[in-house]
Amino acid sequence: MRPFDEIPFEESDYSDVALMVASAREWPADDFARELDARVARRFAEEGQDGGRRGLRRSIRLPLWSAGPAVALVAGIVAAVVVVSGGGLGSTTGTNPGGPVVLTSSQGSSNGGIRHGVPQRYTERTPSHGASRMQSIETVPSVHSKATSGAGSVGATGDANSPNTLGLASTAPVAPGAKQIQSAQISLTAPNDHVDQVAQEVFQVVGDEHGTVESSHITAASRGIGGGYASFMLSIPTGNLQATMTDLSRLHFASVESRTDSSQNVSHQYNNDQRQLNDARALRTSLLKQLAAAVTTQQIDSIKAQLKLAEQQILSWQDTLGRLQHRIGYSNVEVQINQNGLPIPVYHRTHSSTGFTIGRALHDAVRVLVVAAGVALIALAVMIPVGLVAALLIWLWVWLRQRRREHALDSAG
Amino acid sequence: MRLGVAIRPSETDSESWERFEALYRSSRDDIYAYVLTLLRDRAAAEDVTAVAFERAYRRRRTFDRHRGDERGWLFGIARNAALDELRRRRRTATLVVDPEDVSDDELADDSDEDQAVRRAAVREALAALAPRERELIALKFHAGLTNAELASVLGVSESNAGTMLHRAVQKLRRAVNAPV
Repeated sequence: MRPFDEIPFEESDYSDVALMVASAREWPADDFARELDARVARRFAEEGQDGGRRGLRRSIRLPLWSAGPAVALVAGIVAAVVVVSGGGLGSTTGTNPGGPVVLTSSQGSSNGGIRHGVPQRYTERTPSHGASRMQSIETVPSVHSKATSGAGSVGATGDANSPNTLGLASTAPVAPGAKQIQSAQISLTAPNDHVDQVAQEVFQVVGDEHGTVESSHITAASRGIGGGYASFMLSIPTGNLQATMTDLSRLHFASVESRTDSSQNVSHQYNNDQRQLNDARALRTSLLKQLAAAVTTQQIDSIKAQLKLAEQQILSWQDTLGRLQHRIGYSNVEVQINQNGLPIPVYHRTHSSTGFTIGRALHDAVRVLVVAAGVALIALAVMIPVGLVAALLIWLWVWLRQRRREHALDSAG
Repeated sequence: MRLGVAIRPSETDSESWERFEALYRSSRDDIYAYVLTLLRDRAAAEDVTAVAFERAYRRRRTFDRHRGDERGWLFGIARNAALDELRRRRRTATLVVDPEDVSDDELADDSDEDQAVRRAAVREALAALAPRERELIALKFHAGLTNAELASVLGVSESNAGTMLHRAVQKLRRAVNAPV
């Protein structure tokens, strides 16, 4: 017979043992029974009101089924953060799902070019006439006032808090009749939803001062989202530069963040170029006289060759001098609006981007559904392994606890 | 002694309380006797009995009548509480005194000397049993559990519970009838 084969018996077979055990049965003391009755009558209330550790543990104890939604909620939040911050659902390039509606316009001239997408910072493109005469334009967003460096150049930087804000940036004194190349940079801040209006004001100022827009880049954005940005490269008659800067400092929806005025004394360069031109012209006049006096064919051919070279030099110096004069007569002005704003992806639209349309609503609804499905998928992907591990640990803990209990009974003796 | 009611999860607070109270009144002394059999210490048995009823009260809504009778459920809670007490004793073995001889204090008060001798013999025989056998006897004759409920409390099959009980009873009989 195997050890645990059932042994048939009747309950009545144990009547003698029942009597024996009943005779030896222990009964609870009256005091204990009364005390326990009282505790039960109070529904063990005192244990729940003692405010001690046990009460705290009981108050924060959650039923097991509530752990699932809690884990799902946490996982969902984590997934949402991942999706929102990193575009974790693989958004299409060139679109801006769920983001602000963005208008982008660009125009450019020969040196500016048309710029699409993320706005770029302009870099100085002015050609120099020698390594020692570099012009510098610096943007200083802080409150520091700073003079630009460079041989033969002077400059000043201001900010919104400085007394130079309204077109009064100081420059070094210049001798009367001196030739100067002037340039300026102004950085403005404007609310995101007013960037477009500020840009229109800039265009208006340029027109009023008879200047031209070399290039511009405008990125408008919805309110409160960030990313509104614009930049302009302007060419302004030097005589109108201060008036232009003053007007730019007084735009309705913008305030000045920083401003830099720079000037470079090019008198020496200008005089040198002028002298070279005069020398070349004098040489040509002299050669013309020699040509008139020449008698042999050989003399005539030689003088004509020299004359050709002289005329080429005259043209070259005229071109150089003309470019220098243009730079003296027209100043470059760089305007930045919200230059510290983060650029945002561009969402190209083929029709009106403002107002409610069924298409936009459907698009938004689909995006919301896709994001919600993605969040749910990620939450499940997190929850299932976590839940399995947690269930395994709980089962292991229960099994170990019961095993220890049984062991305690076996060793009780 | 048996109470054929079950605490249903869908019950209101009032209903569940009434059922718990009925269960308490029908089981208090049985729980105490069972726990005392396991622990052999009156003070510890009183503490564990109180703990067992408090746990049962806190968990009364988790009782599932499809998994067994409420008395079996209650004795399972009491068993775990008693075993936890045994574990605690093992961890603090140096501080625990020897098991109390629960028969000594009543022997002098017993008017019927033969009956007292007989009771003492039974208690001595019970003490000589292995802990698991002593537990089986207590569950069967103090708690009045059926073999199925025994199996549920002990976590074994019903036939296995019957076999173990039969052997424990036989051993107890031999111990009681053995010449002193």
